[in-house]
Amino acid sequence: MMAAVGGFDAWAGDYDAWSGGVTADIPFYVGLALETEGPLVELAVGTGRVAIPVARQTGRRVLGIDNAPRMLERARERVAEAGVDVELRLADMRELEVDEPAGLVYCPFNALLALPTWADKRQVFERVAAALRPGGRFAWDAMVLDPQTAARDHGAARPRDGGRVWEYVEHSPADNRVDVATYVGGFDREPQRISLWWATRSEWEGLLESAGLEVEELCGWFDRRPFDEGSREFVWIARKPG
Amino acid sequence: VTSWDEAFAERYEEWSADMTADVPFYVELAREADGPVVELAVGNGRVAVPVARAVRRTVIGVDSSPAMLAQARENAKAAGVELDLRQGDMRDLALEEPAALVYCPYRALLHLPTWADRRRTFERVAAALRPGGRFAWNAFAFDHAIAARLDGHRQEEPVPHELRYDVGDNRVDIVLDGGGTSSLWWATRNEWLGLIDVAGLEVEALYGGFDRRPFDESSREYVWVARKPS
Repeated sequence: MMAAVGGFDAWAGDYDAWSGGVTADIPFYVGLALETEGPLVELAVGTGRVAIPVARQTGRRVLGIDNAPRMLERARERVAEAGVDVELRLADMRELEVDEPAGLVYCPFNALLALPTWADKRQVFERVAAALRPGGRFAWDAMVLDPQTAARDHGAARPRDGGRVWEYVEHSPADNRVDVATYVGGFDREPQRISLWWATRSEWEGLLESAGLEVEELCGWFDRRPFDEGSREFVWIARKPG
Repeated sequence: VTSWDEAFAERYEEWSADMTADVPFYVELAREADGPVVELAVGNGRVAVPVARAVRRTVIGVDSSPAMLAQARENAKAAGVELDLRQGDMRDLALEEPAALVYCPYRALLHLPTWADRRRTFERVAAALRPGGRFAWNAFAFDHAIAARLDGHRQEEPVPHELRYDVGDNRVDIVLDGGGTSSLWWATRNEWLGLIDVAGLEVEALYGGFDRRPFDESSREYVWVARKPS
């Protein structure tokens, strides 16, 4: 059994509030699912924020995996409420297995950055490549570490959601890591802590190459504008050679 | 994008004058090497000359810049040491005899723009090493605070220049007053680990400085020693 990564399990109750403002990625992943044939798989499905609209708008089943049981419980409730076909599995993405080769595997919201090391990320990319049918796609998004933003945020507490949620951010350049402590409903409560290990474009290219995947598109945002010098989000679409 | 403008060569000696801490580190590795020693991006011989003097053997030095190699030739002659200087691209490294040590000082691997360029270099190095041979290099760890402070700012030392960051391309351009640009593409610890992994090398040590202190959260320089399995 591998050590769990992410630290999201204790967070399930507050996750919806924390991620509620994030919506720009949904049409992107829905659009990809609509233009891709075959089974759909979401890595780090969380509470179903993306998987539910994907299942609803495609009318197809989405297999969602996550390593946090309480997040999956919350997802199960929301899936039942929405009346969509989302199959939820408790699993580590480093051990991804699918019953039928997938047409699209996707991983929204920086979730691949919860993997600490090259070996962890490489294993996920290899598992994804093995899970895809020829011509199948792997899509994910990840932040570009912006030095101005990082310098502003480092060591500072910043409000979100009108002050109901506060984030405290610390950067560790030596480990290309950002630690985020999120306080929901006051600083007297224990914060939820996550770490993200940011990656450069060349690191992503290395992971793709090592897994035998090809770059189909590198976008700078969810509207699929091309990635350029001003981009602060990597939005990757890769393909298994068909 | 070219990573090296020959105009930079004219100011290189001044640019690198304060960098001396790496010399004893690479000299020591060369002393421990039982076989051919190769420096990638040998430049003006700043490191290769003292290495050759210390080990009393010829050091093979590879560089893509004719202007830098001309300086290295003069410096070797003045110091009375043997350097086997070769104009070439480190991505095409090929040796007649397997090396005991390949090293690349002064962040020069960061002149390689993409994963593919670096992966190819690592594979060539691995192929050029004898079993048990070592590959050593150093590179800065990207520090957001330094980048935020220096981006677009002019600095006088060691040579008047400006730093321009393109974070989407993980690149910093060093633009000298009056011409000469050198570009560096920074890498994360994970990318270095990935390159070592795909080339079939093993990590022997990751130091946080040339004095061989352990790499920790306060470190801002990766000082790597990798090894080809024997």
